[in-house]
Amino acid sequence: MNKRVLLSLIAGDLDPFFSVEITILFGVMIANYSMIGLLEIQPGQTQEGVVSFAISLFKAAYVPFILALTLVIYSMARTLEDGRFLTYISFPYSVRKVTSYMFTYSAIYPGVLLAAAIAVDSWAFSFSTWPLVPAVLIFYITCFSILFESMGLFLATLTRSPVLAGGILGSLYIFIIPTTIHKNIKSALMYAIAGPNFLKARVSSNSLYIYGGIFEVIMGIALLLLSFEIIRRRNLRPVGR
Amino acid sequence: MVESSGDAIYCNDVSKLFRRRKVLNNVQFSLGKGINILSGVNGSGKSTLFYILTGIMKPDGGSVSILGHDPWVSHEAAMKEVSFMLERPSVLGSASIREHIYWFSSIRGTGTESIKDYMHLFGVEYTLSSSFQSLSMGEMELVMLSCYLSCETPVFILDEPNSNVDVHRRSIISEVIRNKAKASNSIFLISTHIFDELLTTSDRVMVLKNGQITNTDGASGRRASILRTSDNIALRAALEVDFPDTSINGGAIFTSASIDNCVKAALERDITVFSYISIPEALRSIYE
Repeated sequence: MNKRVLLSLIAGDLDPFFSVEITILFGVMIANYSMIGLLEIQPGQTQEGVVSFAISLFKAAYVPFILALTLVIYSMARTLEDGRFLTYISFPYSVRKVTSYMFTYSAIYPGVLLAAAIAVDSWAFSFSTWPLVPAVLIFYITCFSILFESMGLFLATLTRSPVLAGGILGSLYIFIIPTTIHKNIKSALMYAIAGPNFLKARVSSNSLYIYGGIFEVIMGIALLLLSFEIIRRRNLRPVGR
Repeated sequence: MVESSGDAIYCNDVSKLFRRRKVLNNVQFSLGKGINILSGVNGSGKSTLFYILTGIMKPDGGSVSILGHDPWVSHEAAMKEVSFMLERPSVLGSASIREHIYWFSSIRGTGTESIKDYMHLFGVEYTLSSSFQSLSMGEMELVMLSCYLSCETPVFILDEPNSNVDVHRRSIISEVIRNKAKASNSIFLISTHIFDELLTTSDRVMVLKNGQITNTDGASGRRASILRTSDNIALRAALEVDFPDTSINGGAIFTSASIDNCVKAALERDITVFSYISIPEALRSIYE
C-alpha cells in the first residue's frame, strides 16, 4: 500500500485549520520581532547577547506555537474518533502505522516550520553565530513537539474527545505552566515538563538543556507506546454511533 | 467448531461484550463464494461483527479467519484481500468527488476509469465535478460504492451499502453486485436491515438476532410474504384458513402464502394491497 499517499492524506486531515498559514504568520511575526531586536544588537555583541536575542524571538512565538500544536492535537483526536481512522485501517493500513504517521506528522510539522522560519530569519539578519541559534532552537522545538503531541495523542485516546484533549494541553501550556514555573530549574524532568518556558527561568546548568530535551523525547516515545496500547485495547467505533 | 481453510471466511464462537451488553454471543458460521447477506435490526451487532471480521475490533472470545489470515493478528495481510466499505466511510482528501476518486485509486491500486464506470452504472457520473457536501446521502453512498466495487479483491464486505439509496437504484445495485460476484468469483458479505432487492440476489441469508446467527437460508429456499393492505385484519382472517402461520406485526401481514394466494384473497374481498415483498423465511424471525 502506498505510504506516501497515506502521509499526504494525513497531512490534509491534520491541517483543516490552516495551521500552515498560522505557522507562516509566526514567521512574519518573528521577522518583525527580530527587526526590533536587530536594532538593539550592536557590533561586537557578546554570545550572551545573541542568546538573549534568540530567547526573545522564541518568547514572541510561544503562544501561537502552542496554539498550532493544540489545533493539530484537536485534528488528530477528531480523525481518531470520527471514523476516518477506521477508513484508513480498512484500506488496509495497520493501526500502528496510521498512528505513527499521524504522530510523526503532528510532532514534526509545526516544529520544523517554526524552526525553519527562525533559521531563515537568523540567516537573513546575518548573525555571526547564526547556524548555532537555529540548530539549538530546532533541537528544543523538536523535542518539545514530540512530548507535546504524544501527550495530546495519549489524552485523545484516553478521553476520546478532541475538545478535551486539545483544551487540557492548550490551557496547561498557555495559562498554567507559564504562571507557575519555578524560577530555578534544577532537574531535567522539570525542564522537560516546562518546555519552552525554561527560557523564563534560570537554568542551573547548560547540560540540563540537553538532558531535558532527551528526557522529553523518551517521555514522548513512552506516551506514544501507551497510546498504541490504549488504541489496541479500546474499541475503535466512531463516537456517537 | 468450524474448520477453517484458505478460501473462505470463518467465524468460530465469536463473542463481543460492550460494558454489560453481550452484542455477539458465540457466533459461528462459514462463508464461501457468492453473495451472503447478513440481516438484523438496528443494534443487532452487524457492524460489530464486520469490525471483528476485518480485524478492527478484537473479539472477547472465539476466532476469525479470512482466506487463512487472522485479521486481528495480521491485519494488513488479511485486509489486502478485502474491500471493506464501512457504514459511514470517510471522504478522502478535501471534499471533491474527483479528488476522492484519485486518492482512493492511489491507495487501492484501482483505476479511476473503473470507478467512473460504476458511477455511470449507478447514474451518478454527473457528480464528478461536485463537492461531497453538495451531494445527498444516497448519492454519497453510490459514489463510495462505486469506489469499493472497483477493487479486484477476493472478498467484499459492505456494511449497509444501500441504506439511503432510492428504490430504483437499489435494484441497480443488486444487479451490479450480482454481475460483479459472478465475474470476479468473489465472496460478498453484505449487511442490511431493510427488505430490499439485495435479498433476491443472495446465495445465502443470515439473520443476526440476540447476538447469535439464529437462522440461515438461501434465497432459493422457503419464502415468506409481507403485505400492507387496506384491511389487514380481513385479509389475515382469509389467509389463516389455509396458512395458519399468518400474523399481523407492525402494521403488516406476515404469511407463508405465495403472492398468487395473497392477491387472490385480496381481490375476492375487494382489499387493496399497498405493498408486497417476498423475503426468505429466515428473516421473519427478526420481526416476530
